[in-house]
Amino acid sequence: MATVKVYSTPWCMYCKMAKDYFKEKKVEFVDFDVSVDEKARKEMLDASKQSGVPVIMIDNEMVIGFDKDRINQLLKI
Amino acid sequence: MVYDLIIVGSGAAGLSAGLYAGRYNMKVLIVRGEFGGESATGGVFWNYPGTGPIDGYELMRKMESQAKDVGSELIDGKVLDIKRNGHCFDVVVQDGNKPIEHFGARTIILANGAERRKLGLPLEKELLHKGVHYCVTCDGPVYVDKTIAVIGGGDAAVKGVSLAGQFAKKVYLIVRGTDLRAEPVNIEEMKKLGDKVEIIYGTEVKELVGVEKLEKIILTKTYNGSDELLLDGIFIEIGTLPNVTIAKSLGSNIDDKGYVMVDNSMKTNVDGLFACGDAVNFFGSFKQAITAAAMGAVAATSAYQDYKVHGELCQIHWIPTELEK
Repeated sequence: MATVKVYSTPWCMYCKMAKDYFKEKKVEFVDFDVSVDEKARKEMLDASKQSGVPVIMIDNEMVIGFDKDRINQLLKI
Repeated sequence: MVYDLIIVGSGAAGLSAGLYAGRYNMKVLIVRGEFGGESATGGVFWNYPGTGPIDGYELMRKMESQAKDVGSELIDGKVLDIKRNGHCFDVVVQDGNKPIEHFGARTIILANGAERRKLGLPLEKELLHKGVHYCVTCDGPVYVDKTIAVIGGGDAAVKGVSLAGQFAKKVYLIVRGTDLRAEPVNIEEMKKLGDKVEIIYGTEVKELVGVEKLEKIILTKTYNGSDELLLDGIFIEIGTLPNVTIAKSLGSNIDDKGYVMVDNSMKTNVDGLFACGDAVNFFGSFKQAITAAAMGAVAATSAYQDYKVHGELCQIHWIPTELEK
C-alpha cells in the first residue's frame, strides 16, 4: 500500500476534499497541518517550491492541489 | 437516460435546488463541478440561520447530504455543453480524463456560480501559488511570520485578514475605495489584530514583481513615501465573475453587468431553463450562501411547475444522440 501524506491547512476546502476522497476510497493517509507544524511546512515549501495547499505525497510522487485524476493514477484506483 | 431536472453546479444554490426538487419527486441529477462553490471556501459562517458558527465546507457537505437523502443523484464532472434536443436538453459532461457522457433533461437549472476575479496583471499567472493566491482561507495560514497583503474591501477580504493575521507577522489590506464594504462585526474582528494590520485606502496594485516567487508589488500611489511594498504573498479577494458561457450558448439574456437575467421565479428567457446563485442578476451584488440557497429553492419549484406542464413533450420529441444511435 502506498504511503500518503497530505500537507494541509484547517480551513482549506481542497484539502478537505482530498482527505474526504481518501476516506471514501479507504486510503490511509497522514495529515500535516502546515499552519502549526513548522517542520512539515518547511518540508512542503522546500519540496514543492510553492505555497498553495494541499500538497499530497504518494510515495515519492508529489501532487499539488486536489488533482483527482493524478491521485487515481498514482494509487491505481 | 433522461432526467426530469439536471442541475449544473453544487454550491448553495445547486444543492438547495436538489433538495427541493427531490422532495417534489423529480428525478434529479446534480453535476457537481467544483463541490460547494464559493460557500465552501468562505471559512466560518456566523450568519447562516439555524446552524450557529459553521465552516462553509461543512455547511455544503450537510446540504449535499440532504439533497442525496431525497434522491438527487450527484456526479463529478464538468458540463462541456448543453444543447436543445426537441423539447428537452442534451447535457454533455466529462469527468477528468474519463469518456464524455450525455444525459437528457426535461428541465435545467444553471447554478454554476462564478469564478474569482483576477487583477489582470502581467506575472499574475506565473506567480500563482508562488506568492499570488486567490484563496486566503486555504493558503493564508501557510504564511506564518511573513508579510502579506490582502487585496479587496469586501467581506471576503476583511475575513481573510482576520484569518491570515493569526499567522502572518504583518498584513496590509489594500482597498481601491475609500471605505470597507464588509459587515461591521467582521471589521471589528479584524481590528482586534491591532497594529499588525494596516489598511491602505484609495490604492490599487499596479504591478507584480518577482522571478521565482513574488517579491514586491507596485502601488498606484505612494504609501509611507514609496510606491513599492515588499511582500511574501498577496491574496486577491476582489469579487467574482459570473459563469455565463452555457447560459449564453442556450440563448439566455445576459444583463449589462454580465449576469444571467432571470425573473423572480428564476426563469430565464429560454423555455425549460432556470438559473440561480452567483451567476444571476437577482439580489443585486448581495451574494451570500443564504441568498443562493433561497434562489435554488425557487428555481426548483419553478422547474417543477414547468415539468408538470411540459415534461411529457420531452420524451415524445427526444432525438437520439450520436451515442444512443
